[in-house]
Amino acid sequence: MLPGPNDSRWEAIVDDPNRYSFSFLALRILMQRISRRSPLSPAERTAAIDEVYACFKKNERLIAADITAVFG
Amino acid sequence: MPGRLYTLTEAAEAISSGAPLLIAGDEKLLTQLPEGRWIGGTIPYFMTAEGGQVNQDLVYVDTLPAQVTDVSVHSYAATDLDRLPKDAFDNGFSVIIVPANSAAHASYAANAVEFPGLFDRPVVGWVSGVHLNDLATATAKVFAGSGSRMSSDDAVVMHVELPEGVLASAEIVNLFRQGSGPNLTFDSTGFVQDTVLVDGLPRVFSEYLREIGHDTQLPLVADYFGAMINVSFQSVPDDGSPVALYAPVFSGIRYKLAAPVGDYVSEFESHLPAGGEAPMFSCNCILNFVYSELEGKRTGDIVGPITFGEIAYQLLNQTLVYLTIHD
Repeated sequence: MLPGPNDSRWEAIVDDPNRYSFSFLALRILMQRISRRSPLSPAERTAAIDEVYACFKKNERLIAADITAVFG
Repeated sequence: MPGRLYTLTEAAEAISSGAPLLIAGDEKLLTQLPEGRWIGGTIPYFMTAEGGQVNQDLVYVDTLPAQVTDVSVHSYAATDLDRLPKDAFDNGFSVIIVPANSAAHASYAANAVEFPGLFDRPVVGWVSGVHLNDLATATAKVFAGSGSRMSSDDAVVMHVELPEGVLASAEIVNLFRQGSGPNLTFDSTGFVQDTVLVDGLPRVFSEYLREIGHDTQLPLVADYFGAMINVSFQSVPDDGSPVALYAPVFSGIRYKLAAPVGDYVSEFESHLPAGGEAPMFSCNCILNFVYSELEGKRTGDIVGPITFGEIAYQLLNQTLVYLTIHD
């Protein structure tokens, strides 16, 4: 089950992506882009959280393994 | 249905049937094709069921599967490419072809990962090219739904809609892994680099590569959270001039030179996904074709154009890209 967009765990993913591993290609490329920009400005951080949530949500059926790995 | 080589007549008939198609072939053939629901790009190299081929008499055609409910064909100038995700269908995928060495090629390579919404659905595709004997005289082209709508500057995209419950996924097969050498980083993003930071120490990039005797068939490899992403060498001048690459390196990413690969074909087959749906679309790199001498050799059941660059969300090098539909 995917947490809602306001769940604090989305912030944790963006703030410290290296704590997580991902198997979905889109997510790996997106997280690499976010990671290389760190530290993010507040506006960038908010945008990144929205983007990561959208990537999970749009691809929810394909990334069950990542949802389990990240959210348990 | 896997793609295959068609005669010009067969391709024209397929277009006339109304089927949405992805077409690759020699420019003189593509310019003769009628208007319809297709996009295309120039390239005379193909991986077929019979093995790798160089063919300037036939065109390679992928027919989109029956699940597809709608398609739309767009051309994008380099400055408009960020509209790509906004124009896509809510559920589906997009196939992009960009002409090698065009403004669209450079722009997509450097900027695609920044496009809002890029990761909401798969984007796959390739960089069109020319016969390697014609590099000095010919230019790569793309076609937007007609042999007369040809461009060497813009990208062409087919946005594809799938019905609810049917999904597409983009995957890659990359045989290269990071070697055991130092971290290589760059102060700027770009296709051309004169300086590399070797474990943080600046060096003239071309001199460094010569000093260590690097085999430039082995690309730079970055680890994107487990996805190995290559940047291939185009030229390493002897006079200390900048090194040219087939994709940009990005500042802030750590690269390593790739470890050697054994026999390409056997390694490749061992990396292919076992079971599951057959890919609807795939493409592989001209450098893999040339360096691994794939002409006449099969790479599993993977078929498709052999290209001057591959796209799975972002530009890739020396990588096989494939797209699978999931019911």
